Amino acid sequence: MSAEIGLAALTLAFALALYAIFASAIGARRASSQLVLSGRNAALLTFPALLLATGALVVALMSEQYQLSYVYSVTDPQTPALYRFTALWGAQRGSLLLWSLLMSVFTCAAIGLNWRSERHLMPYAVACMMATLAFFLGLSLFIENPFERWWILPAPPAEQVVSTALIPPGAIAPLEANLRAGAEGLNPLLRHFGMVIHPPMLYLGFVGFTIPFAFALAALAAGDLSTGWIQATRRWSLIAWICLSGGLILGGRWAYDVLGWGGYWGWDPVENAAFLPWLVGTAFIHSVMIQEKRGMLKLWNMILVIATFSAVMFGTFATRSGVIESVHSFARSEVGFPMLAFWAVMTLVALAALLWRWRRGELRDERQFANLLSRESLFVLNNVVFIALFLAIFWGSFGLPITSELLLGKEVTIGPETFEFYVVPLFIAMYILMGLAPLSAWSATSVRRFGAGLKAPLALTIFSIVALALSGTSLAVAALGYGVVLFAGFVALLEIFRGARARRRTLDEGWLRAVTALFRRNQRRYGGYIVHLGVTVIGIGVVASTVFQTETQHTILRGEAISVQDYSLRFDDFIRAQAVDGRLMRIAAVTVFRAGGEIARLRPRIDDYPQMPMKIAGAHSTLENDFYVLLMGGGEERATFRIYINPLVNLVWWGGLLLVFGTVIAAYPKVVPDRVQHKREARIAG
Amino acid sequence: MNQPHPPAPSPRRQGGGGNANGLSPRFEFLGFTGGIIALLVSIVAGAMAKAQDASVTDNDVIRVAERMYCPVCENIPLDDCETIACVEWKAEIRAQLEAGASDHEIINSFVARFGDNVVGVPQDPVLRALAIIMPLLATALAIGCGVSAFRRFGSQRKLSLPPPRGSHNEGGGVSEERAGEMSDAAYRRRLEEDLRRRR
Repeated sequence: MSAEIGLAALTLAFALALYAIFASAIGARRASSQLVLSGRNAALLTFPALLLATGALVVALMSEQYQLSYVYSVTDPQTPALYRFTALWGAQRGSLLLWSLLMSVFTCAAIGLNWRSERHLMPYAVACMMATLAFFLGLSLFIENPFERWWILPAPPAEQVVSTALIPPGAIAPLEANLRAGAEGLNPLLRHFGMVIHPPMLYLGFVGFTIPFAFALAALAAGDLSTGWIQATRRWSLIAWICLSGGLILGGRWAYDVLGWGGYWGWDPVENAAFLPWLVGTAFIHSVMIQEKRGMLKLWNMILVIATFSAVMFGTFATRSGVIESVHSFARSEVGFPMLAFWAVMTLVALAALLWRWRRGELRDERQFANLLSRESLFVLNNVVFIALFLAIFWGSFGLPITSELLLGKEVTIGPETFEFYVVPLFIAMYILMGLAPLSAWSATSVRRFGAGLKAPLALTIFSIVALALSGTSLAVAALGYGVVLFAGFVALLEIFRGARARRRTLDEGWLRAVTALFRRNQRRYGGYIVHLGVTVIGIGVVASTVFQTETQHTILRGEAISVQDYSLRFDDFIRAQAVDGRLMRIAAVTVFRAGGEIARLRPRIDDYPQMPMKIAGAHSTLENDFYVLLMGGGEERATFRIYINPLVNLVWWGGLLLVFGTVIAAYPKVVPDRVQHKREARIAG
Repeated sequence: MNQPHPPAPSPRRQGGGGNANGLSPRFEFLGFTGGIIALLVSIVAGAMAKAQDASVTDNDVIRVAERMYCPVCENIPLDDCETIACVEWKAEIRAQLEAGASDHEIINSFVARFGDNVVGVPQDPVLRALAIIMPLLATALAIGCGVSAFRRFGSQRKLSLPPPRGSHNEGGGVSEERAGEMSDAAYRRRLEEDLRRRR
């Protein structure tokens, strides 16, 4: 029954989305409010339809309806309930349906929040959002249908088993017992708590960036190229950015816990596919401020928002089509060509509309740059760095492998060494600009004042580097890394301090009240500084865990120990066990000592799934470092262990939380209207 | 069985029936043979000890494997992959290290047999140049765009008179800059001004 309900709801949602596209677009062109409202209502109705479809699939997963080939491929009778639910996004078909549901949620929210204020843009925006939704629903219906079921066709001389959405004539259902016995189960790599949140967060980020794109396209179509569309979508951009940032950080954590290589970022094309939209999106979030405040960079902002959407679509295509594994594989992948075509069509349509408006002179800036030493100039430099990062990473991840295989007939892999060669200098530039920009003012800053603002953070940075050198950090590369990262952090901290001190002295407020009021008065600026602090903390963690990581591997007998730095690991015992989900586990019991004293008992293990073995690390985490140990193999008497000591690695996760917290502050709707707050302060100030 | 060779003539040997030390020829022969054996043993033991010093550790294999990729599962570092092919490759790396090959020689030998996709940095000069130079060109292009934008804005600024609107107070005001470090009141005014202009 779930399959029939799901299929009907999916078909209905597809029809509604198609209708919404035409009703909204034609209604807007003919100025027919009836058609526009009808299109809007159809768009709103896609949400309950998709909720029903997704609900049907969840019910099928939870109630073990293995006749659905999707349920058969991602679960088995041993799968725990949590992973039964997360199996919704455990493979292509389910995750495409989730993509569509989230797209529909964002569309409804955009309609709810922006319909009145951006009435003239909304029909076009709805048409664009529905076009994206209709495309993904089309994929789900016609290529990757999650409601396909197994059927046996009595086709002599032998029976034939097929997976189809509609019941073939004369087909009979396979025996339930056979289906249960053959069910494949969830990919072992996805059986991790991080996978509960990581993929939906990434999808939220990807889908979220569709909303600013839709408004930008609407602005181009409607010819309203003022800052209205920017103001309407800035919060959407921030929400998408939070989700994408959170998704990337959770992905790093998942890799650290599950992939068993002691790291969290390997410059893998799949990781890079999610990082690319983040880079352009970050450039966009900074750049829109210039348009809002100064009426400048209108053309550039349009290019950035189109590039962000384009990167989202390309990343989705690249990771789902198989193009990453081999450039020939998209010929085998059924979603590859439609995705590539949709990406190309949407990008070209947007660029054509942009070119058309630009040639008509409708994207001229209202003001010009007044001074090279101004915040807008530094933001432009920041954009240069982000775009350079985007181009370089895109080339290494996709451009060169595809070019090499298509033109030279050679497969090529680009590893971390190559990426780090050009990415590290660009990140250094990014941190320096992150420190300099807050010290500058809009329009113009004198060299004298700029220099005066630099004194304190520079002094603190130099002091910190000297202190680190005295404490034994002698590597020049580490000193440089810490220096630029700390500089950016000190600037953010000092700006918060200066703002609070100014309020304290002029309004006679206490420190706590001054800081609170500062954040409430200007959430975006100070939320942004918290984000900068988060990026600083992440930077410190990355520098320390990259430059000072220790790695060693040894084979020892039971009772023997491996010494690394001032740690030692003793191999105590070896246990073989079977988990409730049926997997066999080889577990090593080890004791970790530091300076002679016991600090932890860990159980690194190898989980033997039918598909693959997985090494699950045992880790002793402190703020100072992670003692991370992997069981590489062995048995009761003799085992091989690989040990990593990752200094300050936990700062990467803590910095990620700070970053998300800062973005929430920046994006959070104001509780007290500015006017009321301003009057209150004026009264206090006398 | 090989018969023991007669002792080689010795300069010390003088006539037959005895020697200068008064040892019989039989003893002399045994002593000489023992010396040879001791020498051989010491040479072999020394070589074994030397070989043991140069024994290849897991860390040596990891050092090379970290720079290579699995031939089967694309984009998975060799070091982290447990497929049969990767296990065999790691064994071959160990064997080559034991034979005295350098890291570079080992990597080159794999690239020669399996192609550039087994390493993270292409060894083919054209691919290597493309991998390194193109990102640098992209960076130069982005910087060039930024510089040209500033130049264009700069030239437009020279043409446009009077000076940009509000440049006195935007960003704190020129008059306040004379003081170098802004006063608290001026700093707060700047924050409020920034806030006002956004609305």
